[in-house]
Amino acid sequence: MFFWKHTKKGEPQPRGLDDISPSLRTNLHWLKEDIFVHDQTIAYRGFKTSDPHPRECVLIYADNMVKHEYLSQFVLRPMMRSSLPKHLRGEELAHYAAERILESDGAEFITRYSEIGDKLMDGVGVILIDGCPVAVVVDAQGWAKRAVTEPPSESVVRGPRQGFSEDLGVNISLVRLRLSSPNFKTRFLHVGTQSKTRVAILYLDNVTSMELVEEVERRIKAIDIDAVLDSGYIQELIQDSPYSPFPTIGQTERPDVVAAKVLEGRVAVLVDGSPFALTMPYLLVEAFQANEDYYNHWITATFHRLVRYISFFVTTATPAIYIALISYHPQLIPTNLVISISAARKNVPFPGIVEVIAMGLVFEILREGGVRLPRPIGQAISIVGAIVLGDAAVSASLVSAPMIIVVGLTGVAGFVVPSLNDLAVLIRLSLVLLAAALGLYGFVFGVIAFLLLLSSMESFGVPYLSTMTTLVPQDLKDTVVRVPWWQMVLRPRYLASKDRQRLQGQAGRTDR
Amino acid sequence: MKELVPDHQGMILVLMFIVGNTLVFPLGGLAGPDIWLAFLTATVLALPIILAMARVRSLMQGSTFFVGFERVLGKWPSRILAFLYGGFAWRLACYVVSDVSNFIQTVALPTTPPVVIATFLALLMLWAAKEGVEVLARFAVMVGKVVLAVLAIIFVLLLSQVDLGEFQPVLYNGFKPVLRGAFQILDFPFLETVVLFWVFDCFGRRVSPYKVFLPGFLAASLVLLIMVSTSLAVVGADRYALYYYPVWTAVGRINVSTFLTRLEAIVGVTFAIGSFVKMAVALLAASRCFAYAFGFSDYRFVVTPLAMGVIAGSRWFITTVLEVDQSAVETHSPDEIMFQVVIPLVVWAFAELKAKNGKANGSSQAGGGEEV
Amino acid sequence: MKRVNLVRLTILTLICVLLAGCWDYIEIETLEFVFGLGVDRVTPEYIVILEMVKTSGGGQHAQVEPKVLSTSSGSVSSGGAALSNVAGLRAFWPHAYVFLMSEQVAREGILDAVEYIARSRQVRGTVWVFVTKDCTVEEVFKSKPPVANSVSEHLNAISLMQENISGFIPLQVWELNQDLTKEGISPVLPTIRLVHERGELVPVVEGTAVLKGDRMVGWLDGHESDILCLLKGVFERGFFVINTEVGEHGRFPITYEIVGNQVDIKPLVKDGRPAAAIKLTMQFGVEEVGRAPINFRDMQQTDSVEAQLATHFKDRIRELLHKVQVEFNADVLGIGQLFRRKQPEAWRHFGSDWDVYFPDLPVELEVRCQVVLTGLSSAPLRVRD
Repeated sequence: MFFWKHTKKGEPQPRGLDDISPSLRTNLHWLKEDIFVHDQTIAYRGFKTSDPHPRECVLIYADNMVKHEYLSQFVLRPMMRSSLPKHLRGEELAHYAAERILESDGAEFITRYSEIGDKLMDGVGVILIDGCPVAVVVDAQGWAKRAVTEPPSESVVRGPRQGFSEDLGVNISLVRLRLSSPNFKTRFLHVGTQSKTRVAILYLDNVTSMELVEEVERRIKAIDIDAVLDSGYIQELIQDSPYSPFPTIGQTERPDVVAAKVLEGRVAVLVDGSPFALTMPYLLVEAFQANEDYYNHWITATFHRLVRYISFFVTTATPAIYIALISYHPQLIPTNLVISISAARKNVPFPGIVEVIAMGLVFEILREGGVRLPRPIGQAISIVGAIVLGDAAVSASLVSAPMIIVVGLTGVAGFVVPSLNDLAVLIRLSLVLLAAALGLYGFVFGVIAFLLLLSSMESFGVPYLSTMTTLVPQDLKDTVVRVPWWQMVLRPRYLASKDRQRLQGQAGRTDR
Repeated sequence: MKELVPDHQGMILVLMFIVGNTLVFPLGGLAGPDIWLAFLTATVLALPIILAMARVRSLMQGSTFFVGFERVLGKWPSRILAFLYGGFAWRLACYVVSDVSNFIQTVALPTTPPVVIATFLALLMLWAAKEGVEVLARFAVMVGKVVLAVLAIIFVLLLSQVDLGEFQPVLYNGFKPVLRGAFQILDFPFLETVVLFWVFDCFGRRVSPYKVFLPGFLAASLVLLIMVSTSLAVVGADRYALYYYPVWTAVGRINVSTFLTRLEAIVGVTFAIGSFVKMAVALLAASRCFAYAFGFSDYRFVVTPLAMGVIAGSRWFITTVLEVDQSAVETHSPDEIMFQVVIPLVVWAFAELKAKNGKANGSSQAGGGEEV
Repeated sequence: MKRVNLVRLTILTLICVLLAGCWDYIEIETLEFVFGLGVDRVTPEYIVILEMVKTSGGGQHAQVEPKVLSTSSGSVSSGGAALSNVAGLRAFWPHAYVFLMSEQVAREGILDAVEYIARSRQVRGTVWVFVTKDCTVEEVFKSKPPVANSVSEHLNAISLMQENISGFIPLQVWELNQDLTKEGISPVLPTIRLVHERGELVPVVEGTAVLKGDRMVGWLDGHESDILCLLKGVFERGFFVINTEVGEHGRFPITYEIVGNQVDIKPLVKDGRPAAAIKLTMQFGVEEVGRAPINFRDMQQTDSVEAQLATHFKDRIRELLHKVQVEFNADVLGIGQLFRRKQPEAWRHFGSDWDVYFPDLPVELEVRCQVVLTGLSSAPLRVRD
């Protein structure tokens, strides 16, 4: 729509009810009384072209979705100051206006009322000329946009600070800036019977496997929903293993991440109105990867990854192991520790399992309470949580001090792997219940169950654990470790890319 | 529905199948200090049968398992064999479940009824078997990495306690105890690998069966040899066979600056996870065999009743840890020799004959096998 | 189909969890941790003594208070159970540090007392074993160690510091099990006695009880234990004050510290009879020379010191060997076991009559001593007026 598009000139079609009539009066009637009846946000600005042959025209736009100065300067002013030659008839009028008069950068022709309806909501101006059965659409989008800022959910120390905003066009441009190759392709789809949301599928033509792109497109096309207000809708509607709590589609607010994923041979989906891009297929390892891993020194990055894996284990397993140890296997705790835990629990009225679940719940309440509040109030909540609930509860012997440590550790470790934090709660709770029933062995049964679940999952035909269940060295290079860039010669095998070569030989390094 | 397991995952599945459940038992205890010799002997003795199995699978390359099997043996013999092996695999699943539940009862939860633990295990393996061999192989790799890492750590920590003198004198009582130990090891766990024969549906290439069975078996043999010898050298050759769970006992002695201590639970956990692979594979094999024997193409509906049967069977075949020891370490029943040695060799002979005939006649059957 | 099964599975598992009922669930605060256990008498009835600790004080100020309880019972385990009743809390064994036996128990055979410890799932194999000398187990547990909270912790700390304390060989119960099981080795156990220290009785670990089979046959004192330590290849930084001849200046007491020892015992067959060759190499550090006018840069003096050390230790080893061979006839060095391992053919021949051969087993002895450290200076302080 940013380019000229000529409607196909052919034999005059038989006029239908939806077709724009040459009569301006009829058109206005239809629009005002039928399509936009009772809609007061639609503005109709009537004007006439100048002498010698003034013609009645109407500029229609949706209030506040257009740039008003733009419309008046580049559409209204030229139209009102120039005249349309008398010999022009029908469609020629519109073409003449677009070619010779209008100074806006985009102009399109439409012939149906329904299209006018659709277009207006995109923030354009529609010009109807009396006697012309074609409407001219001029671009003048001008609704309130958020600036490109650093995404709050994925801030970095080292790395680009641009994040997606709600505008699809801006978002695509942010990715395109990073992949200025003609192979970078974008496919547009419209989803939502009411919202008509634009959805873009991004991929690299010479890398991404076409089956994957087709599959993504097929699944998105199959969506039949009234509105898509965020990419979360699409995510849930097209993902594999919908009953599993683990995500099988990645989400990010960062254009650099999208670019990186697309370069690996993945497909990204951007949704208008949502700053969250979706990437697919998504594997479990990706939850433990961060974009900074690739910007920092590879040893640091590997270490941080290790920390993430450990943190995920800590956040999911600590309470369960604690319960298993104190309730079933005190013989496995070092003697000094068992004595102090025993002493700490002496006056606590609740059994260990109740303590764990209650404190876990308290932590979740504090977190949920703080998360949507403005920052100052959020801090107040954490202070109340930490001092009043934590310290006072221990002093009052309502909970034991080791339990506070366990819950605190669990909570903090959870934030290290943010994309899995929500489901970590679920895993933790189920493991705690199992540990309370059968001790460490219950815990192990839980772990087996989750591993089975993970093993059985797939994301767009790729096994969810792909890189973790391989023994091929090349595929292990970007998992728990992040090997140096000069060694990541090939793209991941599981994505079945067309072109697996990433680095040309060892060209990345010459000094050795 | 073709289920194709990548070679390396299949290899780990074989490895975990052999190592998983065996870890804590006094394998080859009859051999005394010559346990390593018994292991080597058993490995050499088991190799022909492992190779025969791989050879048969290799000859069947191109068709899914039961199709190829039927071509070799004919319809009714293969169905009868499948039925028998289904029973064998199911009983194996029962054994493994009772091994684990009795282990847990002995070392950790004395008053919890083992049947509860068996129920948990049965539910989990039911799920695993329904997911099929592909998922199971992936699971085995995930778990295998953890298990092998734990074993490596334990091995390193145990090294300071090892007394190499425990392996002396070599062959004090002659070669007979070594052979007896070797037969113990052959029977459990080495030749239980025959169950795996029925699990893989098809392989990627003609060499794949070798790549799966041979390294898997050899690696498992090595891992077990190391673990068993280490624990024998720690607990003492005289005491080794007397403990129900010598590795458990050995690991209990690890004490690194009073901090890295009381690590037995790790062994217990590893054992439980490793055993799970074995029982799930056995259940899967049993389900596949029974479904085929009765002429069904999909095995999944048989899994649930069989798994429920395992709960009962695990308490029926073996009720206490005393009998676990008997079954795992001592028995050599004729049916085991039949299932683990005779039938695989006979099947191999038939497969070779068939292949030779096929080649001689240039029949379309054999040719058809090559394509896929 | 698959989803339904998943849901069913989850429900079944949940039911399982709820029905599981947590048979083995315990609350940690209801446990009374047994730190030490002991047996004072086996016949006619067992007298079982437990040292338990009582924890109290909650989070910030955990306090541990030892209590000693004793009862008579039909066996060790039933005695423990009976004491749970007395204490009102569940006696929890896996954190026990020490297991004590009185001399009487040791003389009558330790198997009665030790068997439970070896078998039990509850008591760990790493428990230290001791024999009390000239006192009962109960008296030891009731004594007051100066630093540690409880006697058991005190004994545990001493056992862990054996390298620096010397005078005994610590033994964990699993090592005892092995020694009892193996052919051709007699177990030795460290002994505890009580000493008076500012009006309080304090337990001291020193010396060794020598067993033959499972019966105690005699004591070794602290010095003999040091030598035994060296011969068993157990490293200890023992301090030895030895009157050393320094040139023509006479004899001076010099303190040596062992910094390394290697022992090699070779079983031999000589003239159709078993024999053994012991080769002991020791590295010494010189700690204190006092007034001795000795300069270790002078190789002659150093050589003379090394020779004197070798003679000294040779004599002491001979004395010890005589004691264990002739007086006790207990193969504490495990020479028989070495025979079995290194010379299996010979052992097949001698093994059954080891008791007969051992008392007059000829032992060749080679002791080499090296001075490797002399602190920061080679000569003593020179005093001038």
